[in-house]
Order: sequence, then structure tokens, then C-alpha cells
Amino acid sequence: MSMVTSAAMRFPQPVRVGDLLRRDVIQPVESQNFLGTEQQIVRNPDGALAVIINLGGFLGFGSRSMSVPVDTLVLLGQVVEVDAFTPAQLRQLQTFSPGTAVPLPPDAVIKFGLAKPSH
Amino acid sequence: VKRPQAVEKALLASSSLNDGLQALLFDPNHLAPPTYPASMIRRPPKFNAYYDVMDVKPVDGATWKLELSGLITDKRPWTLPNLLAMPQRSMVIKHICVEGWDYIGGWTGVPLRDFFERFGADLRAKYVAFKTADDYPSSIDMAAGLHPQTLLALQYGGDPLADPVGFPMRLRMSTKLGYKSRKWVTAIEVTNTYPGGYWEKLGFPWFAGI
Repeated sequence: MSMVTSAAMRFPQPVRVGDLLRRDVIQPVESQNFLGTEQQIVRNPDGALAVIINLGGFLGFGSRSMSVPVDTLVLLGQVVEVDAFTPAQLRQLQTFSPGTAVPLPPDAVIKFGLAKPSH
Repeated sequence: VKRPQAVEKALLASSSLNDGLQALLFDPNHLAPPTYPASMIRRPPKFNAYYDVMDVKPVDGATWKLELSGLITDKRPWTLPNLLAMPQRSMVIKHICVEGWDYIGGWTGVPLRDFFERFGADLRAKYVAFKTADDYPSSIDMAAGLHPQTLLALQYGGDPLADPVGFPMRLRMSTKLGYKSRKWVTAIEVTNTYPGGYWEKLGFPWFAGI
């Protein structure tokens, strides 16, 4: 099943971009391992939406930002889960550089798929 | 971890005692504190079920009917337009899950008390039982059913319920743990015979008060 098909089956719900920022991103396992923090939502030149996640590090040091497609993430109340990548796969993504990606304003509304808690 | 039958029995007895004490202490008119501003409503609400969100089967509001049975005078099935035409009440309350998480939600709907009075339900009956489109029955005590913050909810945050949140109608209570507020309600029965429920048969507390 493609990521787009899977995301569509998760009843995507409208959510304000400003309400998504600074949310914790966790691994979909019972221990809910912390992976990073949402920094920004951007629209790529091809029109696809992506979430810029500040991954890893400690107290703000040693982390790096990467662009993760919205379709690979799911919303569980306050937190966001990475549905389609393992932590190892996430770490292999290239570091995000703003380039031609356009940040969405806080009042923009995008759709996010849902999931049931993993715990 | 092995749990001997004697331990299981003791835990269930303790849970049952806890349920009984909660029922004794329950004040049918006391509103759940605190109240929250609408700005704190979590959008969208957190989804949870005993199955994955991808297995949710949306209910067609145009053909949906609420069946009524038991100790109710007027048992005509009720439709969504009928429910929407009744006086509504809104509340912003905390949803508290037995799993340990919570969120603040904003719900609008028909108070169950008003609905029962409209249909001539026996308000002295012991139990209110619910059936749902996802075959997930449950039941509550009549006192909780008549509480001012027990709604047949039709909206979340001012919008119609989304499919995974229970469209077209779900139960929403401020006085009990989240698993007692069933989504996609299709039938209500007023009865004096203990109806149990899905989780209750698995050992979860029946009263489940907060």
C-alpha cells in the first residue's frame, strides 16, 4: 500500500498549522520513544506538504532538521507519530535546507491522518 | 506474568467495591470541574478504539436511525434531523482515558435527560444500555444518564462529528472514563436488567467514574 493510500484511509482531519508547531514527534511503539519536535510545515515545489522535524540532539544541541512528507505522519491528540519510517531511516534523510520550500503561515489549515495510540 | 485465579478474584472484588463507592458518592447535579475555555479544545480530538482507525466504517447520516427500547413510552426510531431540531447544549470537558491520557474536548448535543423526558423514559429505571454501529455495547446507571453533562453529542468544536469521532451521534459524559462514551450509537434501551458491555465483560469497571 502506498503512503498516499494509507494516509487517505486514516480519515485526514483539518488542523491549523500554528497548532502543529512544537509538537513532539514519537515512534509508534508502546514506549513512545521521543524522536524530535515539529518546527515548520512547508510546501515543496511539487506541491507536496512536508513537516520539518528537529531530530535528535540533547537540550537543543546536536540535532538537525529534516523534511518528512505529511503523508508519512499521523496525529494522536497532542503528539505526532512517524508512521512510515523507522528511526534509522529517519536519520538517513538529508538535512533540510530551506531552498525553494515555502513555509505555510500559522493560520493555514492542512489535513493530517489519525491513528490509535500504540501503547 | 501469571496471575493466579485467587488474585484475579481479589482484584475484581476490589474493583467492584470501588465501583460501588463511586456510585454512592456520585452527585447527579454536580458539574465536572474545572471548566475550560473553547480555545483549549484539542482539534482534532484524539482517536481511540479497540481497532485501527483504518477499520472505521463510516455511518450514513441520511439512513441512520436511533432505535429505542425497554422502559420508554414512545419507541419510534429517531432520525438525525429530529435530533438536530431538539434544543442543544455545549460543554468543554476533559476526556480521561483509562489508559492514562487525556485531552480537552468541546461537545454539543442533546442532553440525554431532555431526550428521555421527550420520549417518556422511566427515569426511575436502573440502567441505560447503548448499542453501536461497531458492535461495541455498553451501559451506564440512570443517575449518570440524567447528569446535566451527559449528551447525545452531534458536534465537536462547533462542527458535525467527523467519521472517526462517532458521526452522526455518540454519547459524551463528563462523569465517567472515556470508554463509557460510545461512538456511533444506534440503539438505546432503558432497563432494570444489568446490560453489561464489551469492556465490562473483560473485567473493566462498569461504573468507571471520574
